[in-house]
Amino acid sequence: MMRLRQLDLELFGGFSGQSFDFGAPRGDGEPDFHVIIGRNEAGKTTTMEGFLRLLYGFPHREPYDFLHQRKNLRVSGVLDIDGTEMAFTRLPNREPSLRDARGAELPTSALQAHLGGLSEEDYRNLFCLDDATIERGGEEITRAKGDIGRLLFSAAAGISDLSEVLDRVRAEADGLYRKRASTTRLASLKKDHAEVERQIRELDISAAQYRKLKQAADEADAEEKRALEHRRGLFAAKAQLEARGKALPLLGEIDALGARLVPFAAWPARLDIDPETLVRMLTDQATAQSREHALGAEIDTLRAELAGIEQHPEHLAISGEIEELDALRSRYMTADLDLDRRRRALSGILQDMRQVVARDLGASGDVDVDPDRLVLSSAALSDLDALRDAMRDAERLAETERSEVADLAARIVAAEEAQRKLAGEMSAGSDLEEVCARFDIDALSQRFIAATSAVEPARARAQGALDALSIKGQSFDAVPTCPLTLEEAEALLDSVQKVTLRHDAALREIGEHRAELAERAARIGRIKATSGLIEDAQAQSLRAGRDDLWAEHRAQLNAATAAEFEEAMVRVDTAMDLRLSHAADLGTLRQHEQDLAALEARAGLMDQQIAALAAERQTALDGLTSAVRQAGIGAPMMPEAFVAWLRKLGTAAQAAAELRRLQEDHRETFARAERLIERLAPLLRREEPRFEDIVAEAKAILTGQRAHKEKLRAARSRVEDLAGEREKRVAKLADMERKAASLRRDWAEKIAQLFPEAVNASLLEASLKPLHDLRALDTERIALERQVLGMEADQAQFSARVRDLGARAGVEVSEAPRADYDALVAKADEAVAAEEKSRDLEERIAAQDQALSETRRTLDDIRLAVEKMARLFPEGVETGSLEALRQAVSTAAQVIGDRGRLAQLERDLLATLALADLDAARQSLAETSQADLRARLEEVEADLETAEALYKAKIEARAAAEQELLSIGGDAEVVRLVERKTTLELEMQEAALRHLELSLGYHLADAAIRRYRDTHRSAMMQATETAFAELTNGAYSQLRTQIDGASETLLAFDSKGMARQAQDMSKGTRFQLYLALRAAAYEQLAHQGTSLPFFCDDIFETFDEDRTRSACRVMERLGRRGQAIYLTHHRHVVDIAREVCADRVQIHQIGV
Amino acid sequence: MRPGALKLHRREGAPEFGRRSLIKILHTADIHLDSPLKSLALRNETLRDHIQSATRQAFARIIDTALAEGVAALLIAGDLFDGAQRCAKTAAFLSGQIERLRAAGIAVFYIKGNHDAENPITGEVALPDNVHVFDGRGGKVRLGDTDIWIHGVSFTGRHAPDSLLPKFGAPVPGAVNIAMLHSSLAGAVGHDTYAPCSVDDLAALGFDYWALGHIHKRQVYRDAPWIVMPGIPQGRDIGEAGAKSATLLTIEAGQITVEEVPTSVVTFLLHDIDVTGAESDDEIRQRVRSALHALSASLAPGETVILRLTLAGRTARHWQVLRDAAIWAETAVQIAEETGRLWVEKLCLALEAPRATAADTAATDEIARLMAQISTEAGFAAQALAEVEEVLAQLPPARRAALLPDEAAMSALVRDLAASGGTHLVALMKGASE
Repeated sequence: MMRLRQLDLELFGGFSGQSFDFGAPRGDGEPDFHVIIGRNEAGKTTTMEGFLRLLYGFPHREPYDFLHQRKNLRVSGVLDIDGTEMAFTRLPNREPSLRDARGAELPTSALQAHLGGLSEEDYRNLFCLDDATIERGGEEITRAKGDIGRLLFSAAAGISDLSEVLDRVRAEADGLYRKRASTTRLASLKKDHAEVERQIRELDISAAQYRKLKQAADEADAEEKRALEHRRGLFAAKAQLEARGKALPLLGEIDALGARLVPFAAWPARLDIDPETLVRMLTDQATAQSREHALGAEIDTLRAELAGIEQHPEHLAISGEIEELDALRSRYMTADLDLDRRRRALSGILQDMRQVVARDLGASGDVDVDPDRLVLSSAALSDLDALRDAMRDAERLAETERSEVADLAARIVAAEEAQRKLAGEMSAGSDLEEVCARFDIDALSQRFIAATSAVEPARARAQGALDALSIKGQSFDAVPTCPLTLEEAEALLDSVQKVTLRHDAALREIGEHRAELAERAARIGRIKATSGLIEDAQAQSLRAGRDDLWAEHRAQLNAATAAEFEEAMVRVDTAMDLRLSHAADLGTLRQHEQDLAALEARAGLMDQQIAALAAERQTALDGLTSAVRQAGIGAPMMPEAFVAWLRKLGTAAQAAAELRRLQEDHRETFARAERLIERLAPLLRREEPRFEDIVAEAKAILTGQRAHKEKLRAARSRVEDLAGEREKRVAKLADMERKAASLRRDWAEKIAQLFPEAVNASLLEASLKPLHDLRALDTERIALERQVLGMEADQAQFSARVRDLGARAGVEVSEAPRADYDALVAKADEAVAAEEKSRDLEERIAAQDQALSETRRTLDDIRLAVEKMARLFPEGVETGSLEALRQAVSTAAQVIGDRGRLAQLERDLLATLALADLDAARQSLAETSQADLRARLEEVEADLETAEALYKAKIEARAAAEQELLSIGGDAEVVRLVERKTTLELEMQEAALRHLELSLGYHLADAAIRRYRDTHRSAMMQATETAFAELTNGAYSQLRTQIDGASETLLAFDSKGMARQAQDMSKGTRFQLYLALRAAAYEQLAHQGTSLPFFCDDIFETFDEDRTRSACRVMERLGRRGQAIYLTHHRHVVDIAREVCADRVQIHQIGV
Repeated sequence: MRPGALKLHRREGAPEFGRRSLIKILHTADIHLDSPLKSLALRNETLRDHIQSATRQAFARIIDTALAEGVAALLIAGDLFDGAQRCAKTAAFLSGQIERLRAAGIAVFYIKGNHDAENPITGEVALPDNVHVFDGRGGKVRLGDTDIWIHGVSFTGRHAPDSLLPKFGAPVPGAVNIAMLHSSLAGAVGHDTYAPCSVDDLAALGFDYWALGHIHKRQVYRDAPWIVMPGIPQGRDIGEAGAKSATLLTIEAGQITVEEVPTSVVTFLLHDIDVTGAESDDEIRQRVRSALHALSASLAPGETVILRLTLAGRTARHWQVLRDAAIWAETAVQIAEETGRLWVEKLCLALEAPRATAADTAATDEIARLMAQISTEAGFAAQALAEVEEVLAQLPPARRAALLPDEAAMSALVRDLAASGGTHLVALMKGASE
């Protein structure tokens, strides 16, 4: 719950310090309804916008910065949030731009948390209504946009999306199955199913078909078997005949062979000698014999050759050592070539060393210094190096430090000079600073600016208002006082005007009276003149004369009196007769006379009235005139002009009062400013200074003084720093110099210790290179000396070894070792060759001896084998030699072959005839001839041909039947189809069930969504409907929604039941609908616990009076739920609000 | 054929039965040859090629096992044929397979079951002469020259309301006696009974082994004497889930031992995957993947499985999964296919809704409540019934009969469809308002 307690538009739009106080919250049930009235341009919209700024901050592009710059804008307010009053100020800063009462920053959420999640745009469109927002937001709501729009139609987000879900489900369900549709999944599965069933029917074979085929196959099989049996019998007979035909010649051959084998009965039945073996043995024997001979001859030749070789064992003995000597020989050769060159190099280096000592180390020529003495070890050399470097570094550092110290001294002098100069420049300190501090010049100048900026516009307004009072050349320096208030003057003017009107009317009326009087008098005159009419008065006087005469007559009763009386009587009668004859004229006359009298009476009355009115007017005019005079206006003035002037006077008085109040408010500030100027003016030597100028100058001077002081302090501290630095440096320098001196002493001692006096030490201090050179040359010298010595040793050794070998080998040696060596080598080589050759010959002789003895063993083996084979043959068969043996074996093989053939022929015969023994065979073939057999065979063959054909036919028949049965086969095609069919059926079932699931789900959801809409439309819709009916005074009694594709639209039904959409209504009615929507939304939010100030900016403009009344009632009702604020420039709206709400509405003025 | 004179063609070199000390016999039943598998997984062509005519393959496996184990006999305790499948090619296939046994000298003993009795092929098939078919009068046959006697009684019609036990003769004293009977035993309430008898009745008759058939789920009722229902060798739908087998008897010195030998080409399996606590689709997908891969890894080599998967548990993605059920089903199929051995026929969702939150006051929840309310109203029930009847009329009669076995099934089906359709719509609507 948020309530606006107070809104201060301090600097915003055209406002500076505009404040609205909405008072303390009303009691429970009391409406919090305010009407703010102000003329055009008074800032009603600005007020509403200012409120939004307080809640949401200033936008980047702020349209309300036309008077005050954006950075100066400022809006504050006191909000009653859930019963607690809190003050907030909104500044145009970056976030956080919110401040609390004490100016402390507040997070944005401090306010946002209480806005029920409404964005600024939402707030504007819902609860800050003007011509634009009421329409824009209203359209959005009726198009179901935004939370409130959805609330209106669906009571919750997301329902409108659901129709899409339903459509998708319907489409999916229809894709699966639709009545009579042929493209659905189910339909296509049905087609496939029918097709598979057709294929099954085509392929399937029933049990009965199968049985028939099987029987046929069985029968064909039996017939084939029978044909086969018959054919087989014929074949057997044919074979029998053919066998006997073959057997006859066999028997003849058997008999012949038997006779031929008789002489060889004693020969062995088996012979395990292969004739090939015999041939091989024969060949082997001849080969061995010729080899035996050849080997003997070769051995003799070899022995002779061996005996002829000459051998030198002493030469052979040295051959090893000569080879060893080869390496020494080659070193000898190298030395021969190199030795002289090396010796020369060595003497050159010694020369160089001496030169270095003399030239670079300054050893004087008269003292011969041994260069060796000056060659230092590398350790000593590097020590010397280090010592020299340390000494030189120390001296160099000391030198650098010395120059630094000198430099520092110069800088100190310069700094001291600068300090003196600054101190000289220092102006005498004035009490300006003290004055400024006492007056807190910064705060004062801010206050002064604020005061001036508040007072000056007020002064201008007051002056403006005063200027406006000028009239007819008369102007006013001060606001004149007038005895009459504006209201009194207005009342007076009013009465003058009214009296004048009545006076004028009375004058007009009396004029008319008088005209009528004249007319009547004329008419009477005319009547009287024209008819001689005796008037009533005349008749009366006649009658009175008569009566007088009668009375006289009665008293006297004489003739005279009688005559007089009679005469009078006659006159009366005559007059009566005359009057009777003119009775009509007389009546008219009488009437005229009466009217005339009445008119005259009224004219008299009127004259009195006119006089009174004139007096009254004069009094009023006098009052005004006197007021004009008392107001100090010299010139005469029309009352109306005076009233207008009085109005201006009121404004002027108000402006003056405002000016006074502001001046009073800021009196203290101005006084302090005045006092400050008084104190500063002499100091700054200025006349009639302006506050701003003098403050600025004082500040500038102060700033200059502060800067100078700061500079002086810096100069002083610099001098101090430099002096300190110098002190440190001087100490350091002394230290360094001590160290350098010590190092130089060390150096001198070292040189004296290492070198004889002849050496110039100063040269060494410049560079140690001569020592390094000397050391390098020495190293080279040592290497060369070592090489020369080695070569000389090699040469001596080689000569000695050659001499020794020569002695041992008995060879004479000369003084040329190389030639001697070559001769020794030749001798040794010859001895080695002879030795190798004799060894080779001995080996060959041994090998040939071995071969010879093997050949002799082979010949013995052959002989023994022949003897063993000969023992197999019967006595008397020649087997002495290998050749004879071979002949006997051949004959034996022939015999054994014949015996085998005989046995084979006997077996063939028995087999051909299928008989067990030879006797039976002879018996069966007895008395049989080939011719007889052939005749019988031809007969059987003819029968067989017929049987063959029959058999073939039977095979074909059986194969065909079998094929037919086989074609059924165990193949699984039908099974596969049945499986496919089963799967298809399952798929159909799945599709059907899925369809049903979707379809039933669809029906359920569809019905549920409809019910949901029915129940949920009520809350928000009901509220809107009620408010709209109230606003239109019942002209529109019902609201309904209509689903239009994916969206819904709002329809209003008038009392005749006609439906209208918002855009079809008049502007006023449409605004009422939109206001009703806001009212409903306001209540909905209030119901949810969020209630916020509700602003309307003159949106009732297009409402007629009755509906304006209703609108006021609606506003009042909203005020009961929260806070309703209506801004208007229509006085009549205020009147109506007062009329409708009496004291339940609070009226605020703006710009008064 | 004369009893006791079964002609056997022995393999060359096969030992004489009498001399064998160890004899094996294979016992199976309820082969339902050429009865098709009922599974939507078979929509997949790869799977179809792989396991087509699975009942044939399973039967061929039994024959393979018989040959490999060198059994003396194969016992088929009824329902060799399926009542509905009447193609002569079935007979041709059967003859071919039995011929293999004949060539190996293996005897086949066969009693007819209720399905055989109604199948006209049964009478027409000229089975090879190694098959002994018991008739309705019952009888006994000696297995070769062993001391084993096979007793059996066939069904003579589709129904056998009375016990067939009186038709069995007495066991042969001193021999091993095996009795073959097709029976629903005590039966189950609501199902027809076939040759009813109790396990105790069987045990009392003095046979050593009761080779039973009819009930498709394997069960060993007793081991002294053995009373064994071998179960169907190949499950045909998810109702016959689990790996299937035949029963191998080993008879040594008059003692019988029993073991299972696998027969099924494809196994139907119900498998639950718990997705409790899964916060994202990726996580759920990961759970499905790891569950399926773990399952695949646990299978015997060469085993193929048709899965009915259920996602269960409580997950934050509850509504989204329901909404995208079709996508999830496809995802499961894909992941299973990756393994090359698992095939998903259906993905069931048994997810628990997340615990009620403040959001349950949302419009869709109220709509869901309204839907639940409307679904119980008579008007909706009548409309739904009419629609279901119309759509189901489109299905082949066999499917319709399977879906709606009785009057009560119809209203239950309508209720279920409305409930699941409603849940689906709520999920879609919740999805739409996301």
